[in-house]
Amino acid sequence: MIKPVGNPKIVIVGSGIDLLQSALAAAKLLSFAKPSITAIEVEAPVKRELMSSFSDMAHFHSLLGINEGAFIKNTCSGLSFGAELYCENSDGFVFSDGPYGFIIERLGFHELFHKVSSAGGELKYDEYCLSALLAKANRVAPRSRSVKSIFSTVRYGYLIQRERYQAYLTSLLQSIGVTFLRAESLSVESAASDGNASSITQIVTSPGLVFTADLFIDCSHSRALINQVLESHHPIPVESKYLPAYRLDVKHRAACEGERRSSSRIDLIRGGFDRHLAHLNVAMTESLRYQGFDGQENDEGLACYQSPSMLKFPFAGNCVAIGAACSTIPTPLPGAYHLLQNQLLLLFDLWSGGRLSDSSRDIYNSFSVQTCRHNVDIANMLLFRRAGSPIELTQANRERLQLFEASGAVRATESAVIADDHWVALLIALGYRQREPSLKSCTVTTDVAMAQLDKLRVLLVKAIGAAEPYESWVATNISGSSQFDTP
Amino acid sequence: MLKIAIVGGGTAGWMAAAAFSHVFEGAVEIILIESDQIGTVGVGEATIPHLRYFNERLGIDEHEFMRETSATYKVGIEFANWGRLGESYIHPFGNFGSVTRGISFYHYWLRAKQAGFNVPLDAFSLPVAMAKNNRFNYPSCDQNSVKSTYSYAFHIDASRYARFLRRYCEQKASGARAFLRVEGKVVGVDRTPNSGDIAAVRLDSGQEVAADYFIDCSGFRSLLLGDALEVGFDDWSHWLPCDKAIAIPSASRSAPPPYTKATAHVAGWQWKIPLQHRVGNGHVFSSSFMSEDKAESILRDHVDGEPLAEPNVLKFKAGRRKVSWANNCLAVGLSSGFLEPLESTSIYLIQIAIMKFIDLLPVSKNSASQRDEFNRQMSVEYERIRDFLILHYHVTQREDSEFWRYCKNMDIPDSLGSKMAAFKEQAYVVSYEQGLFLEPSWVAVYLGQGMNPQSYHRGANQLGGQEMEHLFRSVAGEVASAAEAMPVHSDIVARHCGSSSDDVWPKAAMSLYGVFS
Repeated sequence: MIKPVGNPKIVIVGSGIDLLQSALAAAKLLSFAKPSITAIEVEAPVKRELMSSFSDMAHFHSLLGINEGAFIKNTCSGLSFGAELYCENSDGFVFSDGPYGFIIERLGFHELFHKVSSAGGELKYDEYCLSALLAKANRVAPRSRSVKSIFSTVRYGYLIQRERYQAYLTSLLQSIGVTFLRAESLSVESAASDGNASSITQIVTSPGLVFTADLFIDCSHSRALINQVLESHHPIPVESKYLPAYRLDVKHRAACEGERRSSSRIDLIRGGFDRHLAHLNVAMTESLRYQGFDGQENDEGLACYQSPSMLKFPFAGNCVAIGAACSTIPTPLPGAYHLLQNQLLLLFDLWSGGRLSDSSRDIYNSFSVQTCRHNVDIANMLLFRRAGSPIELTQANRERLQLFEASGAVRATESAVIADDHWVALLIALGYRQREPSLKSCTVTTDVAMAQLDKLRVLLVKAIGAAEPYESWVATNISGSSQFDTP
Repeated sequence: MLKIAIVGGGTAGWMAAAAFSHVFEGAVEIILIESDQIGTVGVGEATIPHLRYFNERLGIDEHEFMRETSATYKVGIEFANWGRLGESYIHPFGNFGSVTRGISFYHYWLRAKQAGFNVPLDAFSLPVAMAKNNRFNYPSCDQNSVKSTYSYAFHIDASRYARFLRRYCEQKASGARAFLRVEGKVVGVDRTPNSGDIAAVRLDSGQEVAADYFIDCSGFRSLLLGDALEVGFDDWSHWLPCDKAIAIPSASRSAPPPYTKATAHVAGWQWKIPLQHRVGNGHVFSSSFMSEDKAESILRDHVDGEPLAEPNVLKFKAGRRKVSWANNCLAVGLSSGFLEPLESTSIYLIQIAIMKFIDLLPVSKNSASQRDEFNRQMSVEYERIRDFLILHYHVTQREDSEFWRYCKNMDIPDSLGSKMAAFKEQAYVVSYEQGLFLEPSWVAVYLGQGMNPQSYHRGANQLGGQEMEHLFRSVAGEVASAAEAMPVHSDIVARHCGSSSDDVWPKAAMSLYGVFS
């Protein structure tokens, strides 16, 4: 028998974009259930002024009904067509979530590429991806609806000024009646019921306000203020041989002339990486250093290092931990908000405002842990390449690399953070090469492969020529009055 | 030149030979060893739509394929007496309704059902309507049309399919030395001392066939992977207790319908597969719960037309080899594992093994990483199909026999238990990217078997009563009129098997649910 239920009551605790995106997702994705949503801000937002995303943020926005043109106009956001990865002595490689090349008869593009480059062709893999080329050329092109157009392969994320984005999300939330509160501190009370796992009974904020809810969403970053009071609170540390503790430093400065780009830049250096963003008049460098390289670990004391870990049960009882409250694993690719956004989409697919079920919790927890493990793999692969220290590859990465080097084949991964084909791009970006071709690629001659690559290059060069310079796009869409028009 | 020896010439052997001949063209030398003295099981008379993709990759003319294999079309499977005696449902190769305001159609249907709506979900599926009305036509490429919401497969004579592929290989190889068929029985296997790889197989004629890779298509005997390499077997018979099948072909007494029928009996189930020239019948049963004589008697009672041959008895055990690729030997088809043909997955498992092997085959023989990846992916394929099959037995209200009481109360794999719990609690279908059977299939079987979820997605409440009524009326109307406008199935089969059909079949996809997936 299906029982009717009332309007769901949701309390979200945390700060910054995690809190705001969670509130907006709850409001939009559960709009049919007319939820009562209270957002309690418990700490000042993180002071990182710029952030970047991959194309999944555009998808997330569209699901929340955010008009892209209005978003760009209101937040003065730029477009990011990829991340330029630089290793020592390398020319750089643009990692984009757009497709690299094409597939012919189940023969991956990298197989054709390998065939031609093995024959002595001087090729760059990222020059066969339109998004990556746009990033390199510092140009902009919207994505086409027509699958026949080469512009249908365009993928981009955003370069966002955090404060503007927060203000924009706040205004959207206020317009739909979400209640906002600020609390200096709060106490969380939980209880076990009838042998079940413990649940949150109420939250009391410092002004003495008491909140009960059907669902509590914990967006309090690594403090996991709500989840930690539950009996099921169980952080799983990542083994330091795969990913050591890390320290994150962020520096801002005024952007220099000509520095503004339609991409971000990541320098892989010994023991970590530096990420550079420049948008409008601000430039940011985010330096992430792992513990244990060159005796650096104690230079500022251990307290400044964060150990990467993930919650085993981010969804327990009536509380669900989201994003950084669930995982402290650094995510240089594809961006910090991938986990958060996908968790929110899954949460509101699983829970539509009725009774919370064990199966929902299991599915959410399984997805979260799996995604976190994928993030460990990505960070581990980046770190391993430039480590120069006894960092070990995770089991999955060992298998991935062996498979790729042996034949260029890709390890099939369920719910991957980056798609299987993009693992190929990442491995090539990091300087790995397949040692020998797969047998099926032997049936395509080098001449045929070369002709296919040449044909694609011509198309791409023409497309880049038709794209708009980034500065011009900024002048029109951010500084000017017109609105960005995309599908 | 790399040399691949295929041991066994049934469906698996000839599909492997055809695929390798086509994909590798002259780059690989292929030898297929088979004996005319050894019969083939002829698995997979009923297929799923993925076979179209396989044929398309080989450049096979679909109409010629139909003529040569006496094929009929198939848009789903009817399951009779599974959830409850006297009830039936169809698992279609297509969707139920369409996603409305972001919510799958079946949630709206569940909401309406709670309010007393008594139109079955079947009424909102075009392939179901086609099956019930004995109609068929190709799906449309217009994504806005209800006619794009299904895919199709075939009922085929598997022995004829093997012969068809043999001719295909021989034509491919004419004038070249890339393909060779060798007549003979394998009587011995020589292994390389250090690596344990298979160096050669010895034939009853005294001939030795050496190769770089050996494809074991020897059926249940698993001559290479099981016997020679001693790869162990994961026994799943405690979840899938049927272990025997009796098959009897019969004469057709009526026009063939475009669906397979699977009727549950006292200790198993009966298949009925309509071909152009005959009907394939078989009774799959558990010998722990029923004697062979009784099973044969039940089958004879339920065969409509005149039997065309003596009963053929097959023995099997549900499960699979612990790995499908060991050393330089790959098992394809029954030598790799057996899952009963309840969902027509036998040929799919052959196809997917061949395709994955082609994707992963290295130039050199040092292939540990490819082997591991292949085995990992095949495990997922087998286990997900296994879970789906178990669902048919386990979710039942039947308690009229010891067999059904056992199935209803048996322990099930955790992987299935969690999926069932999600649907039972909130009508949520757990999705996955690798493996067969996605949301429409799970919904068809959950609801068809009589599982009633405790709740539905509340997003289904966003439509008002009149909007719901309009939605149901319009979908059911479109489905009914689209089916009605299609040709009668036997007419279109005759047309496509004739010599002058201009109809162009749609492009194939590796999907059960339409031409765009």
